Amino acid sequence: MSERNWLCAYAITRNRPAELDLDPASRLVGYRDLGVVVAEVEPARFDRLDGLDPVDGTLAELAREHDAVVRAVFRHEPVLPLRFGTVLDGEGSVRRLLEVAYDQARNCLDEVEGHREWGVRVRYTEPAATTRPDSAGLTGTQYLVRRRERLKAVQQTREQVVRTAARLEDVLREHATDSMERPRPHGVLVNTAYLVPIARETAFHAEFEWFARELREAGATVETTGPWPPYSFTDVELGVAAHER
Amino acid sequence: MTRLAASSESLADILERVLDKGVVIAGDIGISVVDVELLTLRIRLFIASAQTAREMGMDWWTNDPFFAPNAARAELDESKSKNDLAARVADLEARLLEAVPSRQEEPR
Repeated sequence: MSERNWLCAYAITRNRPAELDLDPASRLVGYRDLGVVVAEVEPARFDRLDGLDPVDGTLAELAREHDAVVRAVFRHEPVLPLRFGTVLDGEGSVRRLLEVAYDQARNCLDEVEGHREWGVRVRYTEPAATTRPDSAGLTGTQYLVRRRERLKAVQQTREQVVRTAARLEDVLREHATDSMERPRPHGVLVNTAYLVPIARETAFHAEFEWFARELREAGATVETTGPWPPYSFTDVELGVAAHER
Repeated sequence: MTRLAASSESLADILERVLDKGVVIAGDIGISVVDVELLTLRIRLFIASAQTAREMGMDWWTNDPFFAPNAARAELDESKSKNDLAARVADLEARLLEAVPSRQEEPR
């Protein structure tokens, strides 16, 4: 298997090698005005990924490397990132892929051009309802009234956070070309990726800051990640069969 | 591997995108070197469990100086709350002492 020329494919981009500042290990394989950034790879490198600690192991290294190559291209040109671990059988296969999937890839690339992806996450864990009022000098009834008021305040804060988070999502969507909800574990109210035109990033972040202040005051954790290459907006499958050769 | 100087994004965010998103090549011009779906599932479980542990206050290791060197500061906070408790106990004792003599006077 090692005699064959396996190529790890990172991203589809424009076929303009001069614009790219690739490190020596990677190269651009072009077909018409599209190209795929590839690097020669020993498939055995991926072999032992099972059973490894994702936080500090080979998988982490390979994933960061994949992201780094995609980002290097993205600094100069629009990209369609390819799924991690895409390995193609030589340059002929890369060109065949572009030939067969040309229109689809070209359209997707046009759609994401001039955009960057930003992630927005809002987390809120309500304060423990177990904190009890100081009972000193209170009658039983007064104590229960205080306690009920406290629980009600917790509930109202939560409702306010949920409302503000929903408004934040609405407003950010207006500044984005597309948005994609990501999985939300317990306690996460918003976990959304936005595809934002570069020209609207300033407005997008100004809105974010405005709502983030309100949410933070209410006790929520608000964060943004990015800019990312448009990973969350390239959920496409390009199919190539051998008989199309 | 000089290209690792990439981004400051968290590994969890990178894994979520790199493994779960991006163009998929179907057909027979490639080989599947990685069972990406299985990997994705495992990463999700890992992230979920770390996050859940944090939310449920079960992330004891993050405050243990042995596991997390940054925990020293948290320990300081803890000793501060111990001081607070000591102050409250002293305050309650003082109030108790004030209350006791007045009750002794009542029968007279």
